[in-house]
Amino acid sequence: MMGQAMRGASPALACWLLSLPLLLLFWLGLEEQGGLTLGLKALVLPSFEDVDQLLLHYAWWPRLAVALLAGGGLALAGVLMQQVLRNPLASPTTLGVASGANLALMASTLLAPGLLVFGREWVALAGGGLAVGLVFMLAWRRGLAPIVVVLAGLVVNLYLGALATALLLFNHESLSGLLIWGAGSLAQNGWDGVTTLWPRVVIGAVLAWFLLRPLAVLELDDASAKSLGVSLKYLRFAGMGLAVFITASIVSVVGIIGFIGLAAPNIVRIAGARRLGERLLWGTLLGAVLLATTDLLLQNVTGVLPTLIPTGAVTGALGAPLLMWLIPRLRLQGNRAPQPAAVLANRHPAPGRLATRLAIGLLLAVGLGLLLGQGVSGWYWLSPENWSVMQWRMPRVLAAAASGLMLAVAGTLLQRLSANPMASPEVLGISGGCAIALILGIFLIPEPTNGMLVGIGTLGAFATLLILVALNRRSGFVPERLLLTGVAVGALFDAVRSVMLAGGDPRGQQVIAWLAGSTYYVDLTSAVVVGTLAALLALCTLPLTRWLDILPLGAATTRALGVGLNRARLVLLVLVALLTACATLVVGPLSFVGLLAPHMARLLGLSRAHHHLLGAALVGMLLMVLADWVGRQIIFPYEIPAGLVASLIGGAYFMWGLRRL
Amino acid sequence: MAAINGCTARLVSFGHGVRCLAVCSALIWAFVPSSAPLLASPPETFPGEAAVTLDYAIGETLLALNAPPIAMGGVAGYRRWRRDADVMRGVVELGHRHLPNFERLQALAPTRVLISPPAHANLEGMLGRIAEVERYSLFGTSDSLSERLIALTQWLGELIGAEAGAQRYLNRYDARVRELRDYIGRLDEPLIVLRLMDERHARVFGRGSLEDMVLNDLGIDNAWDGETSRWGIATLSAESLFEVEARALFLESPYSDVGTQSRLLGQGLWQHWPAVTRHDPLIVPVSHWHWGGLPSAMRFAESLVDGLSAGDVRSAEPQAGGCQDCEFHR
Repeated sequence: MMGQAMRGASPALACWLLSLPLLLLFWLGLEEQGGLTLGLKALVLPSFEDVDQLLLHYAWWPRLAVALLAGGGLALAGVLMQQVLRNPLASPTTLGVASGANLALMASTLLAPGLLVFGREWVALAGGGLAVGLVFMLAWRRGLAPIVVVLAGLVVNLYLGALATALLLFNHESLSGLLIWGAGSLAQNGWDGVTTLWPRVVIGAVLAWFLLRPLAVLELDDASAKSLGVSLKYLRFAGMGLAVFITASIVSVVGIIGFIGLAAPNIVRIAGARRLGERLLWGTLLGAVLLATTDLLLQNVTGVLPTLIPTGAVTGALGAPLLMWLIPRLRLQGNRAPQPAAVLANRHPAPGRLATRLAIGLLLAVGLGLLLGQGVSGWYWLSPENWSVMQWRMPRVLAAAASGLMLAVAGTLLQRLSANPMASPEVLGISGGCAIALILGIFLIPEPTNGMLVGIGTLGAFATLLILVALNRRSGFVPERLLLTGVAVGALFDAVRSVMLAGGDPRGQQVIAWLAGSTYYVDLTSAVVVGTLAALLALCTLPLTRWLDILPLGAATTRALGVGLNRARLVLLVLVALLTACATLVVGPLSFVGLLAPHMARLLGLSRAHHHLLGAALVGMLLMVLADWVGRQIIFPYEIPAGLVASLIGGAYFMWGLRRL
Repeated sequence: MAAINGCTARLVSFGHGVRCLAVCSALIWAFVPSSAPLLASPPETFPGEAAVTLDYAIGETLLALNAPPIAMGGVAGYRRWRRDADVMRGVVELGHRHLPNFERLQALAPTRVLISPPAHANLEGMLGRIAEVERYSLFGTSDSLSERLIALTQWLGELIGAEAGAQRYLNRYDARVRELRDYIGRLDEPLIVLRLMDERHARVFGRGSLEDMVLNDLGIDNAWDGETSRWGIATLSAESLFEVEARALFLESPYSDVGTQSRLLGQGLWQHWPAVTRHDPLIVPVSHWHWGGLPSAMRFAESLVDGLSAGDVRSAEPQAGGCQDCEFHR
């Protein structure tokens, strides 16, 4: 270990440089509370009569210790994950471990509080493990390719987030304590957190040290590694299992701390730590330093604010720009032709007949959505002339269909553009940007009207689009990189959301209601506008079907066939962004129609671009109209927003279709 | 142009709807659960002059004036906060407080919908198509909450034509508060009102909150004069409360298990906090809405005084039976 440390002079230097602010803040923090001697005395032999010493002993020291432990542990888990998956973007947050643990804790708080008695970390471990398992299943067929893993992680993150939103929508009060914890506050109240955490992190570090040699083999490709007689399957399982265990322990104590696990390992790698041993050592130390520094800084700043700013949310927000900076510097297999995974289902013999059937299904769903509902005394059929009720239902059905159409078309464009099965409009970050703007609008404008909110949301969506174009212009809009920007925006969105919710502001419930995604707020005028826009934008895609047939064949083929690659990509990107922005304003940022509808159309056997587009559009509309109706009826007069229902139905389909992806 | 668009869409969709009815009604009929009663016509509507509200403060004030709203958003939640399954009996549930069911609302044919912005301000346009929308802001105005709540009661009295009733209720509130204030006398220490959210964080009720208003009315000093949000609360970690020298009053939420506050108090820093070591901690179950009207204020005042007399802080011996003898208000 010593020898490695000597060779790693450059990462060591980086660690020391970043430690200087920590030391300064540490010293300042102690000076403010009575000086170093008193601080040390309070740590070892506190006098419980003195309030200063009490605070030092029960709050300040444990908080510092937890920050160091959690930061180090998360970075350690990040290094392990990156090594196992050979993926510089793998980390506890990007792979969904943290949100899986979070959702498991939420669900058990509500449904089975008895489980928490066994230990929060075990519940968190189960949730985190399941989430990672899901990511693996999604990415398995693509050989765990880095981009696919990260996108699968993002999709799982979004899906778990949608489920958490559903729980929050109906149980906001019961979960109010959990909201603060989930935002990743490091505030401590005694040594319990430290005593829970240190043995687990130490055990994790020791086990990682034992795995050092076998894991280093993973830097070779699979065939060479196998020839050395290593069981890759068990090795990967052990490495991932260890990383998930460390993450879940940390999440169960301090909640979700964003991006330390991604940032620290990448910084030491860029600073020159190449070997696994070096990365483990310096990555862990740097993670500890980064989190402790952020936390001490934050303690100095937030003293004056009435609301709690959780450290985890702040690191998440700081991580977003870091990731944006990192993405162009990653070596990813850019313009390579994708694997022939398109042979999913046989081509349908008569696409026209299939489309007609889907259209009839859509008409039935529209009829259902408009005419059957519940009133004061139960179920009834509405007569179509009854405008007083129809005026509420028609905009919703129209808006649901329009947003389903737009998301499905956007998803089809994106999946064809990137030849990536995990691509969906949400992944691009446009919806996330739109949602951030809307949350800020609800909180910062004294009395926001629906019109103002729509305007702000549009601004947010366009700001995100600008960032996307600016970041990707030079690289020629390589689809993989485009999609990764969504990961960064998503992180920012999570940070904004958790800070807003942790404060306990009554407007939080309004935000959740909107985030859950509903056609509720649409009136007839806006429904007609949205419907018209949807139809126009969908028509715009028709002249582009030649590109869409060619693009999945890879960049080289595309150029050979005389298509201007950058122009085609930019045009499609702008179209996708417009479609997504319009749909997000109607049904919120979380609905998986954009991911699902193209897949379902594929599975039905529609593979040529124009058939695929048409089929996806019909499926998308059908899904959203049905989801809207089910959401309005199932717990009448309460309602489950359409976006959520679509996610739940869609997610179930997704599990079922996993083996075919 | 927009109007023309709207009209055509309306016509198109209508035609659509009619055709749909012809094509699909027979098919869909088969899927409707047979147990559910099917009506050929829309449901009956409740006749008469009637107000509907989406806000608990307005709803409970109307109830106190003996003119309960015909419907309210989140009735189930209100009953839970009040810890009373029978309160607001006969008031129709409109669904989620932030997503009231428009169809049900319309079927009730209310004359007025009462909201308290900024909540529901974004729904105003849609609510306006059902009934006249009346707005009354409670928080974030330049007046004190106490002034706003008194004015709210008077305003609602005018609205339902019961000015005298509103004045009677205000007098009753004053009398009740005076009675409670005389009963507890002058406390030797200020109070801090808070709720422990988890092992490490607490939510404090300070300037601008209903709880702070009640403390003032009862002549008790609120020990928390730090920054609060527009709604009078602040979420803080344990150490930021530690310097506060006061008697602590912990609020037990109706959404958490009984004993949560005392369990949390037994951990870490809390057990050394002078505010709880010098006295037994005062734990009061919440049976009011934090952003409610005078009825909530009265309930909080009563449970506060109950808690204080059970905790026996008064220098003089409290009368036997605590405050039950003065319990005339439901």
